[in-house]
Amino acid sequence: MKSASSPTLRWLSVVILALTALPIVFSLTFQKPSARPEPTVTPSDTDPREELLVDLKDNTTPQEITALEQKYNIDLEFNTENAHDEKLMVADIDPARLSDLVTQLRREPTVEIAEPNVVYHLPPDEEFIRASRGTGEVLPPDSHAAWAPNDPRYKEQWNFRMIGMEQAWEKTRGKGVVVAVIDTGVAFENDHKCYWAKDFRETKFVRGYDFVNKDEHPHDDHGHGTHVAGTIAESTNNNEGVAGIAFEATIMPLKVLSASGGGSAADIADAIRFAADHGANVINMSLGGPFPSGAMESACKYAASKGVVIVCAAGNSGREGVSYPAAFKECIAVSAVGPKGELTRYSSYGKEIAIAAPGGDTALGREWGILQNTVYQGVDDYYYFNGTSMASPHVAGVAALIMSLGVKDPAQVKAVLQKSAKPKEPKKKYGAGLLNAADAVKLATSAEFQQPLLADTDEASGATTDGPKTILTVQSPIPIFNKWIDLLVKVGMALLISGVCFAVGKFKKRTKGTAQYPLAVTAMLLAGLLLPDLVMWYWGANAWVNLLAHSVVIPSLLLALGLQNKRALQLLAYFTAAVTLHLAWDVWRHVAPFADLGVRALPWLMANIIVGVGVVIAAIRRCTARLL
Amino acid sequence: MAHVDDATKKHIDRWIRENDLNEFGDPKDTVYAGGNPLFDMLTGKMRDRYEYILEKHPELRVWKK
Repeated sequence: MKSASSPTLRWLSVVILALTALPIVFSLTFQKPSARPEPTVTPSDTDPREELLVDLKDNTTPQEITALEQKYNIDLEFNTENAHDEKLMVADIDPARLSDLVTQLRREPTVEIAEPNVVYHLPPDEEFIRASRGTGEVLPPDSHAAWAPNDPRYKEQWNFRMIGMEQAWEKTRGKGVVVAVIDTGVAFENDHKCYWAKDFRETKFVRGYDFVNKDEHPHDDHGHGTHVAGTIAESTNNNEGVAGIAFEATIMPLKVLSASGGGSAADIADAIRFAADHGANVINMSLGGPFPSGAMESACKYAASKGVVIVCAAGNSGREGVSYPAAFKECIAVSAVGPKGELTRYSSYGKEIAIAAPGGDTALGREWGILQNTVYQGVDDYYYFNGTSMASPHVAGVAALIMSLGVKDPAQVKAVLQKSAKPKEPKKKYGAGLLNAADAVKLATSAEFQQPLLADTDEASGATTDGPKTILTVQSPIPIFNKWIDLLVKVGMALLISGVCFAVGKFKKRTKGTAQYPLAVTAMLLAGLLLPDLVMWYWGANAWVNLLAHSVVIPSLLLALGLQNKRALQLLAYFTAAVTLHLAWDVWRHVAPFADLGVRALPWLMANIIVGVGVVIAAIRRCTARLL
Repeated sequence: MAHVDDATKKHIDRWIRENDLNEFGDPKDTVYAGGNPLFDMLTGKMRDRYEYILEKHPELRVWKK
């Protein structure tokens, strides 16, 4: 091959090869094992006894154990037969003594660990019946799979059972995901201004900001923000209060609303950008106003472009008309339903509603509100609130669960939420339907949503990072298809074709032709097969340039503009053939390269495949004509 | 809060128009917890809009002679 011996072309080919290898490099560099937490314990034990767990030093003697038993009036037993060497012991104790005993035992020189033993139990049947009575919407807990936390007032969280949280917790608790709560702040630390709410002591926080008072202590002087944060990630399974949906996620508290509950669009826009720039994966905004703000919309676009999922309350007007920012295209607008699964009388609604979630309805009785811990009017306690403010964090929490399972593109997260929702009409009230956490995490782990081309996780921080976008698939006919197989097939196709070229060259050499390895051809093939993925990785699944990359528009234009150089025509033909193959591969897998368009992108792919074949034929013919 | 008479309501509405405010008598870019300052998240009840505005702007009440 004449051109292959040209140094310029050779170097160009190497550069193109290197560029097309970028997706692989990034994939290998950033793709780490998922931060998916393993389900811990699912005992069938329904006995809610209090148990103390004590891990003694391995060299503790029987006499020392007896002395401990006598000193603290407890009966220590080895946890299992296998626990003798490790001196792992348990004791049934009076719940009232648990806290003090733990504190005292930790001071003993022979004690390595002393803590309440986590005793898991399903909610009593009567509690479940109470929660589900008349609702028709509460998902029955699966006695074989459900996991329930030990928080004493969890049984009052009818809303969590309604969306199937116990099944969802079996798969994930949101570890590694950062959720920004843009609100009145969060009662997350003790200082001169604020109190640390009692059921947030084990919740993880990252640095936030107070945009109202312009400092780094976004304390809650209202009560709203802490309640909202509680629904997302209140300390759970800690024998205290109630549970949170994604309790292993990390909260980023951002205060934009003052003690009176009001704030400015400018502060909110700043907070959205702050969240996007500081590693938030999900933003919850249980706030809104009647007028759109350009600054706020621009900030939402910015955050969405950085891969942040934005969830917003629809508003509490009780009328048609979704408030802003919920009504912006980039946001997931959430309406509120009561315990019967019907839209509450206070919830705003409209065509922008994406999904409905429990918001509580205290008009039916105080206990039908959403129960979380907050500091309200100076009192740190558990409060039943209701509103779309309470519905939104349900969706944000489930979005965090979905993201912890590796689905990172906002469009995909929204698709998972909506596809897994229990359908309910009319759409302007319920959007895709009622939030279903159990089905959402199930869907998120299905092949349909587990084939990101290149997904990354910052293992060191455990947080997901802004990364390559994934593509929306539409009922792929191939049940198991991950990015590695996808990559392997594409590289395989390129090598196969270039190998054939090489073999043909060898044959020509024997018949007095020339034969060098067809580096340029290989580069064109790899470019055509992998560049569309690289473009989508860099600009995101929803970028318009992504459609251009998944097309033969540029080769067609080059041909149309009268490209005559024989070598250029050859390379153009190889490149176009490779792009066409890529598109055909996408169509066969029912993969839409443009997340917002989904299946509607398929005609575009089909048209480009046909045009691509035509371009290849035309290029070959023009090439042949020049040879003649 | 005393009953808001029609004259006061008209006065408030005119004041909102003249000052280019939102329906709650605040600047148009104001955002509220839950999207609505009238909604009581504890009781689920809705306050009267005029009462809410008068609480913040008592000078808007029209006093009959």
